[in-house]
Amino acid sequence: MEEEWLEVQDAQQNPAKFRVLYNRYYEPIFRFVYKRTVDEVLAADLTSQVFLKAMQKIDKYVFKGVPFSAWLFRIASNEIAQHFRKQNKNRVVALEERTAQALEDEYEDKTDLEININLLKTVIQDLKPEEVEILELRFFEKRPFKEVADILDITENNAKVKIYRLLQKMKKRFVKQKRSD
Amino acid sequence: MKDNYNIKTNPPELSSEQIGKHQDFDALFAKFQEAEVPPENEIVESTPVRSIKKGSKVSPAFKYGTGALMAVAASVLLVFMIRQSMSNGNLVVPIDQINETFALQAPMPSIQKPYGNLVVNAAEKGETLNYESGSKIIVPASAFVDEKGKPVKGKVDIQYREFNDHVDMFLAGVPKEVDKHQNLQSVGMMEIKGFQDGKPVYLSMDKTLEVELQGRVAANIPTSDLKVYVYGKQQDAWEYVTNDDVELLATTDNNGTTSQEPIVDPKTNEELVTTARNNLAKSKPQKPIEPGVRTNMQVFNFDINKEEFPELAAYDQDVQLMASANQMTAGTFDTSWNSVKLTGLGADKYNMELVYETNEGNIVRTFEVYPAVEDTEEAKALYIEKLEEYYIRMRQWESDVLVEVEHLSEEQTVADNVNWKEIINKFKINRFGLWNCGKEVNFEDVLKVNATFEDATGAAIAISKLFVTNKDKQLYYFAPNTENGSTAELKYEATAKNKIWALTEDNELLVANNTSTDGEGLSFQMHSVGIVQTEEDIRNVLTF
Repeated sequence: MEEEWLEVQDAQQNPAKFRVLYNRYYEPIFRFVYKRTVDEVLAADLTSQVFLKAMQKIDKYVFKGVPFSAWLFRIASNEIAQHFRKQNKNRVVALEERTAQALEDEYEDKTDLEININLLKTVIQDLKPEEVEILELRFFEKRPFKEVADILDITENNAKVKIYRLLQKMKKRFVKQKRSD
Repeated sequence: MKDNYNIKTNPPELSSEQIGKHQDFDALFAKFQEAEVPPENEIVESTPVRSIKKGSKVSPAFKYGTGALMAVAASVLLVFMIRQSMSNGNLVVPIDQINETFALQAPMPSIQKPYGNLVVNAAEKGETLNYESGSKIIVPASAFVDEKGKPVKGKVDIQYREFNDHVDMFLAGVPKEVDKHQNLQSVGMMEIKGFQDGKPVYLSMDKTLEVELQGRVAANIPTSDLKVYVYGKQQDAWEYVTNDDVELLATTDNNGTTSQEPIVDPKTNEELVTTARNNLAKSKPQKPIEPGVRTNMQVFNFDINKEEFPELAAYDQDVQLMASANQMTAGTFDTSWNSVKLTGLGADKYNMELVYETNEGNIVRTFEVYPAVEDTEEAKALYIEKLEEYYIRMRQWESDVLVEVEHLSEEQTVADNVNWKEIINKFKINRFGLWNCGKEVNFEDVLKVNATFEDATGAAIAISKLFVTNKDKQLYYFAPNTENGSTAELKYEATAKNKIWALTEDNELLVANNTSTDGEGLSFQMHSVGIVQTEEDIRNVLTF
């Protein structure tokens, strides 16, 4: 991380040196954006926006012991949110069949719990945008707690608490929804 | 029910090649430079700019050439700082430092901590400067240059002062604004400038000054977390520079009595988590073994005595052992070994030591073994059941770890009468300015309220600036109240020891005495101290 901070400082001095960081993070940022748009062309445009903004704001970047990638992911998250707001469209959430099963495995007590993809779709509609973001980062993309915390700019403990609370909230919804079906 | 999200199931995956097609740093850089170029009428006529015919293709070399020329034109004219030096022969003009020069805006210019005037007698030789607080600045030879980058010789005056607490920072006008800098704690802050014959001097690009800055930090804050920041005027931000190298000197209690007893630095949160995990290692659940044998492994029968090998008994499955097939020989199985020792190596790996005693000495065989469970339907079913139980117990264990962390954190709270650690912050500076040692701290229980300010009779008071200091976290910050009204938005940690004060437009000092809730807001009853004349008057009302 210290080495990357030196690269960031180089880029702050000379924008052309941003290339190193761009090449390193292009694909991860693209995939991050694609998962939230499911549109290759749009993902390419937004990714380009993310890196342009990063280059424009890199002077303001201050190393705080958190990976540079976390800062890029935050910019990406904001660009995506802004895009959907401007388009006045609902934010896209990509869901895979296997995610439902993997989510069920997270629960200790599986009483009355049978998560399938349709149930998950219904429950997601009830979540706040921040909760969907946590769901995607932790459960869909399997990021460690620390990385989730870095991207959301919160402490690791706070991230764990939020994730735990989200699981409990979703469980109540799953059980309630199943009973009413 | 209204859909809040557009959910797409099983979207197609993109390969790295597909993604790579969109990757083009040259195009991005060109876009970045377009955004940097000033309008046409600001471009100096003598700077040549090639015109591009509409619709013509641009080759990468041509794009770079144009971009470079435009960037040079922009750098001459743009107002914001570009971090690079222009050369004039062998001299390097300290543009960065010139652009960063600023003066603090003291709210009460007549009451300020004075500068200590230290003198470097011969700049070409260097010197160590000692400040009255015990702080030290080590100046190497030929450390200073003038505004043209020319080395400075002879006497150089160093203006230096330290800001030890919120009163010092308040009186100096230190930039610590809410929402920008509020979370930056201070365990030692200094302002340093250099002059020769009244004209500013700067640090040479290849020189740094070594600083040993006296400070104090709350006893419960680990010093390994502390960092060094410099205030950047251009960005209006405190920029991280390096980690703080801290020397612990003594502890001070409530009465100001110091003690030289060895100081135990509190552990960081990461260290606490590691300690908690180690403390609870014995109770950590054992993950069940998935039935089946690994490739190139051989299972062998081993009579596992649960009392002798409790770690294997802990699996609670029908466990045998397997080892790499090429380690097993006929002799391994044919020999009646006198003793068997199993030592855990972690991650379900064990070291097995077999000993055969002879008159000529012991024959010892060692090899790595792994627990194995036969792959049967029954074993698989048991495994699934055990795995579920394991996850349940792991969740509980992780919760226990968090509880243990809290317990350890409470335990390591220093003795009630020890409040502060006297320290020396050691670091190097590469420019004059405002330097701070501390760290970013998180607020717990942050309260953001609409605050109203009134006097003892309940009459509203208009304030121009609001100040907060949080004793526990050594934080100080202010919030300008641009509307000069009697209400303001206030952000502070309600459960901490705080001092809240304000200045009116006429520089009347008000200190918050009592608070009361008023619907969703808070009312602060302000006591007027009047127009303050001395630092002592201010300390009397703002000291905890």
